[in-house]
Amino acid sequence: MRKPLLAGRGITRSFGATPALRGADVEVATGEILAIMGPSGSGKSTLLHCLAGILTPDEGEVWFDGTRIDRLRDRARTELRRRRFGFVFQFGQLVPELPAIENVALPLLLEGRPRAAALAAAVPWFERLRLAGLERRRPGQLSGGEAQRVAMARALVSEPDVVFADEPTGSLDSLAGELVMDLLVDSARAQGTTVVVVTHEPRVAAYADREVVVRDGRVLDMAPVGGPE
Amino acid sequence: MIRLLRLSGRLTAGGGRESVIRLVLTGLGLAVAVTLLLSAAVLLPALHAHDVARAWTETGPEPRQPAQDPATTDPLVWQLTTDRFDGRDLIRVDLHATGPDAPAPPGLDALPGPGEVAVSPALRALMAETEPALLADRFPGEVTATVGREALASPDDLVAFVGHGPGELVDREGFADGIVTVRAIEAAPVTRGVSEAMRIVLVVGALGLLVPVVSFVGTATRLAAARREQRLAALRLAGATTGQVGWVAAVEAGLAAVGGVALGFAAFFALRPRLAEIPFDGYASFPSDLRLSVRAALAVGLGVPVLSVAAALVSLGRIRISPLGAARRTAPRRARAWPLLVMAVGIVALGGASLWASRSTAETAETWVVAGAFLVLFLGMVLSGPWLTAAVARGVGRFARRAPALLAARRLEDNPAAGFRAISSIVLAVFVGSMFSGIATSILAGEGGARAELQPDVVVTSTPTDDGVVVTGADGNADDADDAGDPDVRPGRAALPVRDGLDAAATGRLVDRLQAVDGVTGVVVGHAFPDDPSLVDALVRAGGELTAPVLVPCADAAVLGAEPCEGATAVTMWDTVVDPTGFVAPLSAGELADLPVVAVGAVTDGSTAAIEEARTVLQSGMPRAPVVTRADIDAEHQRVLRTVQRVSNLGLAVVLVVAGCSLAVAVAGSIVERKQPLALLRLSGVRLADLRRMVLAEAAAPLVVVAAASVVMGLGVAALVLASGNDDRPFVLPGLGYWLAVVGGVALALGVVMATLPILSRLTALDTARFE
Repeated sequence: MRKPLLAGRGITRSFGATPALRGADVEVATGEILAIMGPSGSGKSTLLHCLAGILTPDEGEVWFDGTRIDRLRDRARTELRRRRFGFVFQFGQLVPELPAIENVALPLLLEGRPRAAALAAAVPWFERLRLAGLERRRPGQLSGGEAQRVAMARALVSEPDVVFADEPTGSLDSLAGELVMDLLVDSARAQGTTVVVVTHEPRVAAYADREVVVRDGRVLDMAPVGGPE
Repeated sequence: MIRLLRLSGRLTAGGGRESVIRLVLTGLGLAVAVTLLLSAAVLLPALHAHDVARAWTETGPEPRQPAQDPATTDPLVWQLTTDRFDGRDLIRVDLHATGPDAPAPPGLDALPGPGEVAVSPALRALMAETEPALLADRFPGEVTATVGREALASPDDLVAFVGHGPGELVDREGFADGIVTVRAIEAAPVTRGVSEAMRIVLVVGALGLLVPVVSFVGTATRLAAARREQRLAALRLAGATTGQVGWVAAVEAGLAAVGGVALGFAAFFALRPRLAEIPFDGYASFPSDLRLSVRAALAVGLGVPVLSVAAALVSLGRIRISPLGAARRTAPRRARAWPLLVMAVGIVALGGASLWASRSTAETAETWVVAGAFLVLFLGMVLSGPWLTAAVARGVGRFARRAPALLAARRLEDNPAAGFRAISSIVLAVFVGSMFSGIATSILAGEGGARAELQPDVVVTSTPTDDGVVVTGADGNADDADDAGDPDVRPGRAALPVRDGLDAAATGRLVDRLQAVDGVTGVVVGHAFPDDPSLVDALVRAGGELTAPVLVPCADAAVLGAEPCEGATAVTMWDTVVDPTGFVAPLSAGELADLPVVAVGAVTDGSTAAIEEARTVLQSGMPRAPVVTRADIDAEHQRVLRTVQRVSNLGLAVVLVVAGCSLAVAVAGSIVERKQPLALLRLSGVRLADLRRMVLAEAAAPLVVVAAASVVMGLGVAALVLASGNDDRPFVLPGLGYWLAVVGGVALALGVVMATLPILSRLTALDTARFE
């Protein structure tokens, strides 16, 4: 059995009087691709946000690489997200004024890396994610699928340990969605990156090594890490 | 209609936190604009109130608008002089009522009798905190009354009415000592000698303030236009017509405007006492003099909401609200370089116009030609702005090493016209302010050199002359064309004006008293120019003026600004003129000593105490003669320019702050519009401080760059205008006040921008992203 890289235990989280998670448990191993499935309002995005240190659970624990991150201060969690995690959302994450290459290089620039070095690190991702020739295009000049691949490149450019993807194909047609998932999975496997993807589409979940279903704030059908192997 | 209005109101106020923030920000922006407009609206009434309150200072034998019926009053002997204390003007009236019905000036229930003095509250306070030898001793008698508010233009006014008995104050007809007999006090407001050029300066200055405020109203109303457009598109999808959507937009803008106007009025009335303390014309005002007329209140109270609604509808007209979202009717146009040509033409035209104006005698025509050239230059600057902004943004984008600078550059490059709009008012205001300040400073520097050769630490007085019958030529003929029509110029032998003089005993007493003053290091005595035809002719031939020559020993002449010489040299001295003539009279010390003493100067250590005590002693030793220092003379000559400089610096700072408010609103709008990408960046681990830096850089970079460029341009044009003039004035950089206004204004503007940053933290809070 592989040791979990990321684990949530007994996570409870409410928004006002509305409970979103009621004691959810989940574990993800290094290099594993986990799909979190569930209907709308089931709490799957909240679970992803708790695992990524975006939200802190009301109860329960979140562990990453041997550290309990739900007890970290906001500053430390911010740094963790910047250095060790990458994010892909459904849409709207690209800065509209920046050309694609600068959008991809943005995390490195914000990390303080010199501009030339940041841009140089961003260039290979355009070839890898079949975006060659689109480096100077602005987000508004890209198709939905292209924009989503640029967002993926941005999530992967700083070589994170975990990529969190929240409905990454939610706004794409099936062909574009498949291409995005193909490339995300290939890149993650090539880098050994762990991926946690939230989706309600079985086609997307099929790319994962393992899937869990969230319903009414609880994780169902959870197979132990390493179990399917 | 009512239902639509109610729906619009509900949509505006009930749209959640973001909607409320947008409404509040728009309202706050408009409140600032309203406060500024109301402040500007009361400026002219306040200045007019100063003129009305000072009407009595122009009292003379033939009043334009007598406050009393001259047929019913007793004669009043009246002498008004402007004294100074520590750099402040002190209006002093010596008077003698010849009967019980002598007219009393406003602010006095009764005229002070012999030995009585009435003083303004500010003067009373100053006298209480100052050594009597420095100030109170100037007023012989006891303070028995306080001058009322009606006579004062400013709470800081220093005014004294000194009563005299019969024979102490004599109206000597034709004598230029300002003693006159009046039967009524002047009630016509002081007329300011506002030249055509000053009027243009005021109009340009008012426009310079109005344009940024109007542009600010527009910016505040268009706050977060993209988000509003999304909502309006949703309304269209629900079946609203374009007309109904327009109504909703108008109601939204109107609601914010009404709140903003109410807040602006409240802020104005709360700030009015502070506003009254600003010395626009050199003097603070009474708060009640900052009267808001009904017309101005209505114009602002109705104009701002109308302007705001119009701006909302115009911005809606630029986009087509379709049920599927807002599509831009016109894509942002690429900035073009051709307006640079207009700017170049403007600069050349301004240089040419200034050159022509300096040689022309058609004053009105020349001011309008110069104003026209300015207009071309302005137009060029405004049209070139987007191209220059794009060029700067490209340059910064190419070399930016850090993310915040890169993001700022790319945002400006993306829509340079929008980027420039927020700062266009800064360009004009800083340009105009810098130019005025540059020209005024250079002229002031020139004035300082040309006038008042007196050493700065010397206090000097000279006795008054008669009206000065001046003969222009040594031959006694009034042959100078300029003087031919002057009634004071009469043909005949060159004659000197008659002037009072002190005898040896009185002079000795005065000199002794001066020498006893702490800080007085020497005393200079000036003698009447001898009425010797050969000497007078020699003086005229040497180019000296006959107006009021005073002979001083060459050994003492340096303190009055004269060149070293042997014998005695002539210095022109009267009122606020002390100029060496360069004429040296071959007189022995004995011959000089025999001449009556008409001027006395005290050389001091430069301390305020020494200068003011010497001034007090001189006033009592030579009553009714003006006592001046170089600073007084400079201040007298530079009064208008200093006002221009002060108003210009103040306007500059105000406009920079208004521009800062515009920028702040634009920044707040950009945060609201980019809420999602910014929130997702933060969620991805970008530090809030980095996001703050990024947003601040977007605002600060263009603000600082454009302000700096406008300073260079304004001062450059000032140098060009001066170089085109025919009096070879060298260009002098403006002083500390100007730089404080620019740097302080930019700092305040940035402070205002920074005040909007907390909404970045709130709108991008991690839990907000979840509900996007």
